[in-house]
Amino acid sequence: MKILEAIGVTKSFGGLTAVNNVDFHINEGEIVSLIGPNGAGKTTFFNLITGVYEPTSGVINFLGKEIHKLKPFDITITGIARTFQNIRLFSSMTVFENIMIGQFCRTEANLANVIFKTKKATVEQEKAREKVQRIIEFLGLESVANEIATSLPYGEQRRVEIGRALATEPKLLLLDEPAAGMNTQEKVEMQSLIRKIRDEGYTVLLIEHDMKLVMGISDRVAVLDYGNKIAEGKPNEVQRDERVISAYLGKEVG
Amino acid sequence: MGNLADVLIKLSIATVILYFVIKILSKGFDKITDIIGNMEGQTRRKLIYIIVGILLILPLLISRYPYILRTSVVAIMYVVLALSLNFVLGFAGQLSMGHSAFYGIGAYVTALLMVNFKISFWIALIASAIVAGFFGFLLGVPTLRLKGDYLAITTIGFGEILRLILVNWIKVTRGPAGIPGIPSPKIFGFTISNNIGYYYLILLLAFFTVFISSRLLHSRLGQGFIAVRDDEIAAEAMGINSTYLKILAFVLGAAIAGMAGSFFATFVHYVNPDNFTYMESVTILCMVVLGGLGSIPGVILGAIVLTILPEALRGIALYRYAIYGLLLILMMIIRPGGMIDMDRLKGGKKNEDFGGNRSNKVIWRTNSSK
Repeated sequence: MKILEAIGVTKSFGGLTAVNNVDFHINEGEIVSLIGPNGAGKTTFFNLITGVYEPTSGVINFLGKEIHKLKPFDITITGIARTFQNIRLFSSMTVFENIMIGQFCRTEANLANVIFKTKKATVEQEKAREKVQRIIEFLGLESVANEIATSLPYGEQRRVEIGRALATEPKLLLLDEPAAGMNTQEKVEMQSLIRKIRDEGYTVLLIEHDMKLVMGISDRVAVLDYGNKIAEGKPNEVQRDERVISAYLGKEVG
Repeated sequence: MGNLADVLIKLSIATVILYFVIKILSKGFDKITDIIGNMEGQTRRKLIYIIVGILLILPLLISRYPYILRTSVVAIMYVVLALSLNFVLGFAGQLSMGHSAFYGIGAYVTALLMVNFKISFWIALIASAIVAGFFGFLLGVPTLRLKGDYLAITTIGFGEILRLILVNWIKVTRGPAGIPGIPSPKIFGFTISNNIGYYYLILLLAFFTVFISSRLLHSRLGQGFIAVRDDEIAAEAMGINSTYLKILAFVLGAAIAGMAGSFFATFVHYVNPDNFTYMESVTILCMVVLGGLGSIPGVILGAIVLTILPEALRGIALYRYAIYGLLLILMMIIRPGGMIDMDRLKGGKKNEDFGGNRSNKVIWRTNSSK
């Protein structure tokens, strides 16, 4: 079943077309990767899905609902969560509090509820804490749960960011270069973590430069170059595609 | 010229001395922060009861010193004002520099209602909160899309416009002459007329504000504010409607500032536009920043210190404001996180390395995002 579908999506900034008439879809339960050289439009495409930009033309459907005109926070509420290429954790919060923020959009106590500490607010808060606790265990962050998140090593910060995204209870998880800046060992761990997340029933869209990681875990790979989708398919098919090879390695003249 | 040299030498000496004094005090503040931060819930509650107890019997002890009592009332009023700005600046991270406008709106609403319509103080108090909150909303909706310095300029403009309205709308506000003869509040048939009565009245308002601040901070909404303050883009990506939260913070801050204004009107029985100038906003801002952005005990302490300090410095009349200014400058250099740093309060000793710098960037970071 198609969980996300982009039809003819184009985004231009003035004269520059960053994403050009891209058709793309993600099936439920898949790990799909979006790759391409620097400046190919991957992050722009990500930002279109998450509502940071509105497409110049085209439609994005998520769970049968048009989302390309929604604000970022509304899109998160409909079930798409993301991480950032350059980690953006809340710097004054602990790991627990950071992940707890993910539950913000799944709780609804209003001002009166929280000031009078009504039963609704307390029960809801308790449930949210339990969910966050489970996510922390899932990610193996128990020992650092009460540390200030930005004081952790890089790899752990990435996991906290993923945890925060999972706490919004998404159907689709968007990971923007989750292995960037990691060493080989950490990359292997990240790879198994992404698999584990998929096995929990989430669908994953990945932007990644590390080909070993991408080819190792993706069910499908789509390749962008200069804003155009130049290939899509199983990892081994894409690897052999001539246009992909020339986009990455350059074309032989003559 | 000899005179100027003399002044400069004295100030230089003062700077050096103050630098070391604040360095030492800074260690003390760290200790206090850690002690509060690492306190168990039970002990903390006991401490709060003790402080409340002291505050309740304080006026009976100092009733023979009307000057001290009156200064205490003013200090507590500034606690309320600083905490009200803390919603906007400390929690939601929005640099609002026109806070005295809401304070002024509250004061004038109460003055007009009580003088012209003989309405009871309690109704005027609530009306002041509602009207000020409404203006907070009116200002918030168009301006909260702006960030950092742009928002600051807009709010300064708002404060000035309000002051000019108070000066020029003579038919209603009597202009610079102000509104005299604001009656004292009545409760259960008693009139609150002496300083002790006012002390308890403002203390009640302060408890109310601390209560709301604390409940809010530890709720989903409060954490939402902090998320918006720390990183608005990430907050939006987590499903937080940041515009809504910022407006909420603005309305709350404005409404409580309005209540402080309402109290002020009956306390001095007279309001005029000079009470609500830009300088007033800056003073409140200093209290919040000096105390520690977002930290409730810090902001309370900041308000008390900055009210008492100018009074305590009266002894050195000539240098009073120079020293006051020096203290602010040195304090911000040595302890950018404020007296009681919110982050340190939470993290205990763990985040020693991060102490000041992080809170420091709160106001400015909002510029860089997007």
